[in-house]
Amino acid sequence: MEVLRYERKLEDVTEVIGHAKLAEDDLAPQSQALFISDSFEDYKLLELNSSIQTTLSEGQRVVFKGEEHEKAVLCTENETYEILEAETSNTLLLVPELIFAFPSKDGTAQNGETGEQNGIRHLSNVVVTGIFNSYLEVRKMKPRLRKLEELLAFSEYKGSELEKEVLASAGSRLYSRDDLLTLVQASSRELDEGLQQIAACEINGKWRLLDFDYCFRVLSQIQNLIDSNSWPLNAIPENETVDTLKDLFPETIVRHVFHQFTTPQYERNEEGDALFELIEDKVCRFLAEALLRPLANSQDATGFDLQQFLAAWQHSVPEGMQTNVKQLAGLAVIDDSTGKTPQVKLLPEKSLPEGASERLQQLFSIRQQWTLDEIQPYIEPVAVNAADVNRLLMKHARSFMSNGKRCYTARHGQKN
Amino acid sequence: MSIPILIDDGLEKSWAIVEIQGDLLSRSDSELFSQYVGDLHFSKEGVPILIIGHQLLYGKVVNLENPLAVLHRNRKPSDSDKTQTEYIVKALVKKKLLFKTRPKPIISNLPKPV
Repeated sequence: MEVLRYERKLEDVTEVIGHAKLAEDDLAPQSQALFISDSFEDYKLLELNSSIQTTLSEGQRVVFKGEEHEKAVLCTENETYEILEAETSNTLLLVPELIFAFPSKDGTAQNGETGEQNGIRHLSNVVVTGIFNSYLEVRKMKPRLRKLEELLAFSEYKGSELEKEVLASAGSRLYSRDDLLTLVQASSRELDEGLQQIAACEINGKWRLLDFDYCFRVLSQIQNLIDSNSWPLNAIPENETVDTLKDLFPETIVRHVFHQFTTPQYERNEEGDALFELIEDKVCRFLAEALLRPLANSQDATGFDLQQFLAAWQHSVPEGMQTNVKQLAGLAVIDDSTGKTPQVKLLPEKSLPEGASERLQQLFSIRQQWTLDEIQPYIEPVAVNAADVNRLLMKHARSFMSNGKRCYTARHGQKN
Repeated sequence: MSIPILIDDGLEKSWAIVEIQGDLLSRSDSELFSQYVGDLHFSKEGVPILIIGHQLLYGKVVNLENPLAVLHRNRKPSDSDKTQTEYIVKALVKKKLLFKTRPKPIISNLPKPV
């Protein structure tokens, strides 16, 4: 079919300039007639910040990521961005060959070189290749790492003798790093940090979590070994530990647990074995969780009597280590509401919802009021930075002073 | 699932956007494809002037702080039966002509005063 296309002529353009009461002398000689293309390509507009732009132009990996039921995100190698559709009531016309007919600074026309063209109006046709009422915007966000833990939770490693059983259980699937990178909405760097944060361990190329009780058994054996050899807590030989325990647990696992709870001293003993120091806060925190876990799993939600807990806890840690309630931040809370003897209750940060608003609602349903110190460790993980903690608290909670301490409670009128 | 975004080898850096208020509608209600929209001029001071129908619009050139990438969805057959999708950045738009003032009507058929 032949399309009858309108042809814009220079005379028409000049005539309209007259009708519009524009002085031709005030206009640059380049005029452009806008046409809409015969058909549109499947284009999307995406607003880039300078960081994404640099990443793209350096040829680094930038991807949209998400399963069907997930909101898509954009990931660079290092960062994750939320994708928002910005709608506008204006209309955006995409014009590939638009000419910016700027006059040069001295007032003469830019394309005046040929002399005879100078001052004479000429007309080009330019084509609109897309019409948009929205574009995509990005906003930096925390990676959605909760899914990482959920995926790995089905196949927790419980020791070689239980491996068959674990792998046969429903929902258990083993994931390589590449599998996880495709499934989890996080950048490559954030995924590695996430794996480290949840203390995942690579066993035969697949990433696994260690079952808590299993990990506890390994750590207890390391503790026993330290005790029986009277090693100072800051001079524990790595290879000797691994060698001694490898009959009880696979070598990879011992090494993994060993590194979880120690930090290198960059010194060697006489045998040339690298020395490590037990990390006090990590060990104490882990052993506190070991004490509180059995109670949390029982039906009645009573906590551990604070005084009894503190004694048992101090007793459970290696000699020379000092327990401190600060080590419980984000793991357990002390309930000292009036009229009761203070109780310790397990409340792991990762058991709370990932969304800030839902998370605060749940925190306030557990307890009506929180001091800043108490609530902070539960908000930090969902905040982009330190300032964001305050912003989230201001948005979702009401603050007041009590006994000289800043406290937070639920906002009035917020239901559920 | 992850869909890569790649920069086109022949990335265009001079594409522009013309932003107008409201919508573009055809007078005869027909499709907009292949239609003539209007005339664009620049004043000698660099002010863009757009004439659409009987409306005269003055605008300004805006440099976009964050450029808009023009993404083109590309489905390419891969080794397996599935097609692989990728987005190609065809162009980066760094400038737009923004027409946000109220259009001035053009009255062309006035009889000339005698």
